[in-house]
Amino acid sequence: MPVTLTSLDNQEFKVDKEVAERSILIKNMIEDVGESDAPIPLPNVSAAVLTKVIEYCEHHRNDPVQVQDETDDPRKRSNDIEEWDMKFMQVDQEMLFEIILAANYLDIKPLLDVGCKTVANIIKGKTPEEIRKAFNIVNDFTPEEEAQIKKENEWAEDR
Amino acid sequence: MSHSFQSRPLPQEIIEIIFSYLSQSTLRCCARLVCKEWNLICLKYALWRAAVWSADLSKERADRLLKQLRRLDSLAIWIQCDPTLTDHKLLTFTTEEQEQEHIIAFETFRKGILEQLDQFQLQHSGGRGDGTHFASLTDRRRVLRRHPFGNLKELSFHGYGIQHDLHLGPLLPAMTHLQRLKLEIWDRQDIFLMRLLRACPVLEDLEIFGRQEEGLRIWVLEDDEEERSPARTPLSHHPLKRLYLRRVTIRQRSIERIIPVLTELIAFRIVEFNRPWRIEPADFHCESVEFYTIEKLIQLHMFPPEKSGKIEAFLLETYHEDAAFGQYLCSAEYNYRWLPNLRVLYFVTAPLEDYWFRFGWHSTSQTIETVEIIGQGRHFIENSVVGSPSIEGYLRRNQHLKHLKAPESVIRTRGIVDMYMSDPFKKAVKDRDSALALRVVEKAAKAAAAELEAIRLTSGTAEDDKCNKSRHRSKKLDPLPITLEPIRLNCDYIWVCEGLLTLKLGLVTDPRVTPKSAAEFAAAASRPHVMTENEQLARAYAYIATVCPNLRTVEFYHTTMQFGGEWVIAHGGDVSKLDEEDQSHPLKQLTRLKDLETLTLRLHTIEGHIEFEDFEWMMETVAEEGSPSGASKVACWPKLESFQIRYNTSAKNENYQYWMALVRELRPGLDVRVKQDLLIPWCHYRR
Repeated sequence: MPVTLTSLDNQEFKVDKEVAERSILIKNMIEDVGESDAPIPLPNVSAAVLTKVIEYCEHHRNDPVQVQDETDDPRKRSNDIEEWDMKFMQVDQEMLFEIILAANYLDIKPLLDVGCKTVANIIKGKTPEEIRKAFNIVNDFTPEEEAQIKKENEWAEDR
Repeated sequence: MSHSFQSRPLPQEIIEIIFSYLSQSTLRCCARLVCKEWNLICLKYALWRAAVWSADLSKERADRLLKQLRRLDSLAIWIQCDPTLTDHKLLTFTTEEQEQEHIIAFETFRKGILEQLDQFQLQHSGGRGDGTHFASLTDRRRVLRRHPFGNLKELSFHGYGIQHDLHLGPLLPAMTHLQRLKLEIWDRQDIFLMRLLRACPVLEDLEIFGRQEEGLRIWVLEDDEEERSPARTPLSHHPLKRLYLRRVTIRQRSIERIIPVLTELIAFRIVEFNRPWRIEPADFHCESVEFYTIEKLIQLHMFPPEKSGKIEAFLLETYHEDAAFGQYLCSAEYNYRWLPNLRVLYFVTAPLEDYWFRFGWHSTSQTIETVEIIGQGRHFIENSVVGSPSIEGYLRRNQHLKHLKAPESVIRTRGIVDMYMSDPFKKAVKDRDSALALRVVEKAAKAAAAELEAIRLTSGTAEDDKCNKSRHRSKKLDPLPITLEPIRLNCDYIWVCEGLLTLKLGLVTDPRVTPKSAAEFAAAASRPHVMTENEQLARAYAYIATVCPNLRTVEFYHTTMQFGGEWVIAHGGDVSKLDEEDQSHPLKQLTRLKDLETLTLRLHTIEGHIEFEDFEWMMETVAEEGSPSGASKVACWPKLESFQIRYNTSAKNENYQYWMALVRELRPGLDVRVKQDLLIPWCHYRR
């Protein structure tokens, strides 16, 4: 049975329940509301982003549910992104961030992880200045503060 | 245009997830510096800060920290459990329950973390290992056995209470990747070396330290039933490259057995074999305990070429003056034959006697390329600040020597050494004829001026720029009268090193003379006065501050050492010139160094005897003028930029930490650090 989702800009998306329930948020909503034809409003997600998110969920509709175990978290790697996911994440940065925010809001952990890994990979190997440029961040350190941190780092390395 | 709007900022929780995929170094060196918000988030992951967990490791805190530690490359746990320090929030192991508490925390470590560790350090200090405090180590061992650190490459243990049957074989069942093992064990303990090597098949570095009176004993085969069992094939080869044994007791035949197995050994460091720490053979109640000493090592050809052919680096660390030892080394018999491929020779705190350089076996070596002198004890001033006459000759004779590393002052002063050794000068000293001494010195100084950069000789009458090339040429110096007698520190000649800017100095003090026992010692030595350790230090500091008043960088290595019956600095001088208060404040002497910029104290004392009772006083005097508690005080060392304490004792570390925290508060601009220096820097000999 299809579920109807309504985006921020009031566009409606019909998707299979199985696909929609990749989102823990939607899954819980459906459980709470019960069987209903009423569209589910997603006021935090724009149509463009929702299209992407649904594309991801369609592709991963049959994935087994991830069992989360915090303490047994293996060493986290960011270089194990599947090929399809990698291609899927080849979007401009605004979209990447929007997908991450949507995944966070909709509680789709695998998508959130892939998004975060992608961002981590962007950060890797960049200088602080390059990172600021890439992420549109203003440097709010005073030169003294910056020097202090560098000094601390030196110490840490010296251990 | 896609960039027409600025992306919504990511909330902190998402940035945290992103950061969890970044390495510590990326976080530390890159992400931190992006902006304030990122810096704060990074600090939550600051393993580089939480790496050493000190005293107040409660279960709650441990659990909380562990949750943050998502990825861990190295872990150091430092358990402080001195039951006498009840004021501190220490984990005490006095009850079964509390022990359990710690074990629970330890159990938490293994979950998903231990398996990934590359480095692990466990330090346990403070309480004596009488079993009640740390009996749970056997439990811990069980924990380790059940959950081996699969990927561990580096492991160090420090402390007490590693009880009884720590044969390390069972402890390290699957250390298949372990490359570096450090054991600093402070109570009586037996270690079975062969088993250990077998348990760690790829081990390259092994350091074993003993500290307690009873000492650490190392056994090899003959006492190890497990190794002797017929089922075992004898170990014939082990890839160990660097072996470092310090203050351990090891039988000679154990060494004889082990050396042939270590076919890859390239660096061997032995320290203080020759004076087992307060051990007498009788203590062992054994019929035949042979102490393995440096003398024996040489005497018995322990390293004949076929066994020692690969050894390229040798470090000698000795704290006592032993002519016999020197003579062993000097005798021609051992030239060439001992360590034939030696390339690097280190001296730590070694007496630099004339014969050392003039006749030493290494002076005929065809292979030695580097000699490094890492600071000396009592002989430093005598032979280094003043200079050793034979270094130059040594360099001349030893054609293959490419590098001589030594305290700067050794090199710098060699040009004026001849003057000190000259007969007229000696005569002047003897006759206390300062006028003659001055003339001799001036003459020598003129001759040596071309080489001098850092030493200034002050005539005491006026500035005498003609005879020096001081860096302080433009500075008006206060006349400092030459005094040949009053300041003595095991040193016949005093000179004023006004230009000396940097001094690294090893200071060895005798810990036995406490204020209580001073009279006793004096009586035993038939001397009117024997200095206590504080007085020894005050004396030394006063001396240094007087002769080198313009020092900017000072680094002291403090070693507390007992020499068979010999006093070290104790007989070196007369403290009556210092008033009583001064004697109890060694550091106060250094306040004369007005230009001091960097002060480093390395407290490499054995039992923590150097207590620096003047920390309280220091705390007040380093305060900047105008700061609340220092308002009425004039700050000492107004130019001080960096102050470091490095220590390798456990007893007083919380004092250092406490004190340093106060200094940080009082003198915010000052770079203050307390670091643990567990070892005197290991000679990182890498090919």
